[in-house]
Amino acid sequence: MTSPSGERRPTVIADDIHLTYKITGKFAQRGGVVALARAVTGKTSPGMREVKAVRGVSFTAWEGEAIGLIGPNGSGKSTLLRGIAGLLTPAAGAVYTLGDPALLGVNAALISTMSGERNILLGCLAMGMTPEEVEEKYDDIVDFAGIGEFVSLPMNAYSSGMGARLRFAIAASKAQDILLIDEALATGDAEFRQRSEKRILQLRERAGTVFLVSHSLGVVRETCDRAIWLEEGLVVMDGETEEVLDAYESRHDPKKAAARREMRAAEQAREAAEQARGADAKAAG
Amino acid sequence: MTQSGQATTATPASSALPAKEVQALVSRYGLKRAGSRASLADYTRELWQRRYFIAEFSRATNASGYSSSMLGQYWQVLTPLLNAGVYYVMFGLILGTSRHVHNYTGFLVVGVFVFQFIQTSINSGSRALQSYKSLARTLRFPRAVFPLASTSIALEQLLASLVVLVPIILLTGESIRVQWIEVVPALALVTMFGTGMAFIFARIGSKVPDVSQMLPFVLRVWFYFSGIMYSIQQFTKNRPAWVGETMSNNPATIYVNLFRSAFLGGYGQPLTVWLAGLAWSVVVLAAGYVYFWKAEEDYGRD
Repeated sequence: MTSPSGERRPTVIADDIHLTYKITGKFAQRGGVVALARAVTGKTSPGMREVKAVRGVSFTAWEGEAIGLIGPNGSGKSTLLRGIAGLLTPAAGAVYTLGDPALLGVNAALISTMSGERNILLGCLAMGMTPEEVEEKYDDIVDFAGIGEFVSLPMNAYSSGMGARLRFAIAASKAQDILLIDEALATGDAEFRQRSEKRILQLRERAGTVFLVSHSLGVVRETCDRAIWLEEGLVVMDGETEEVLDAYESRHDPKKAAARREMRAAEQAREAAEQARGADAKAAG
Repeated sequence: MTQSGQATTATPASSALPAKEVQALVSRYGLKRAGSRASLADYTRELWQRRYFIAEFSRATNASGYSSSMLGQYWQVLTPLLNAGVYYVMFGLILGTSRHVHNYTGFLVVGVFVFQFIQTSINSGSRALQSYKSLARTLRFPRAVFPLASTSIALEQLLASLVVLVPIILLTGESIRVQWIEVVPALALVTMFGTGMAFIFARIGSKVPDVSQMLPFVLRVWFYFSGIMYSIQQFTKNRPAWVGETMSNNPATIYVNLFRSAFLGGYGQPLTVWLAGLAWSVVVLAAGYVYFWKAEEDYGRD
């Protein structure tokens, strides 16, 4: 995708961003006396700890790109996604965006004791639609979720699959400029997963840029043309999906990487053999 | 790009740019800094676009709050009713503050309901950013949506209380009067005041979460000083004039008295009280809104 003038425009520029979040709550704290003692001695915030999840990440995403964020648990992928979405203010550095980034997901806006109908309205309004737009999309959402009559029942009466389908259907009903997806593909049964993957492809086409966080390298391989590998809040590698994923696999799953190398080698050999045979045939003919 | 010193050789094509180039790209294509605070006008416009969500969200939240109880949404009117009953027994019958107060039941019930709204606005405002944290983590809103939602939840409860109020005051011998129309401006003023207070305490509460633990006590004291279950006039009769002055200029007292003026005969308020109420509303709302907006970027640092 390019702008009318024919040049590719940057949609997200991350300029050396650091993202931290505070954890409040109890951990390793023995009772009120200790807390009081700490308060008296002037040690600050007993129940607060800062986590540096992203520690200086830079990249530029361009129009039309689908970028997979990969890395082990706790490497800062989801936090980075929230930073891009503008939900988390960077402690240092800045994220610049062209258009509005939005996370795919409305779960937090929904109320489980309310009916599906009411939740569709609520979720769509939360994503910034007007009541008229909701009305327009309503039938599509119900159809896509495939929940039929259940739409008039409270959502806590749904099976977990139905709930997941409705939540996805609501979230995917709005086209976004910059679409951020956090492990959203693995919901529902096989049939629904296929349909939701198709819907994500549609959303991708309409969106300028897509970011996808996934633990499944297969999904990243299928849907992304670029990958960024994060480890402990830092970029290890940023480049073409195949290249980055191969490097990632040889670090974290050497066996699989070796198998993949073998498979590729075999494929190349077969192709070479086929070509040779074709050439032979031509020569013979 | 930040190399972590690990053994990777690939140097990606479009990765880190020198600061100058970043700025050049940003200004050339008109990128916006994510999560930056919008100007007050843009912020207000964005907030206005969210009005449908705020209304629907508070309606749904209110309805769902009672979904596990057998009486369901009737609790919305039962709760204020029971509240008024308790205060009536305590103060009206046992402590006898009802002496020299005309239509004590009406007087008390109006006071309790209106103060309850102010109290709920402040309490839930101070917790607004905390309680909607998961929502703020997935969807981007101007954060003012959250204190606004919590106030509109409180407002809905106040409206339910007013529905209960009508039969109560009719039973206590009041008649339907033109003055009831005063409820409209009184409601507008107290709503503005409550919203402003919610904004102020939402920002404070996001910085110092302990505030929401302290507030109930402060609010209790405020309640006792606001002439809800006794007449300030009677109470300050034998005291220095400034005591009475101070107590009656307390915004809670002003709003409660405006509602009494609307519903109860013999409690008409002079124009100066209306103007004082208006002044409190405008100042608190405007100051609260700007105060809340100023810290918009900080709310994302959680």
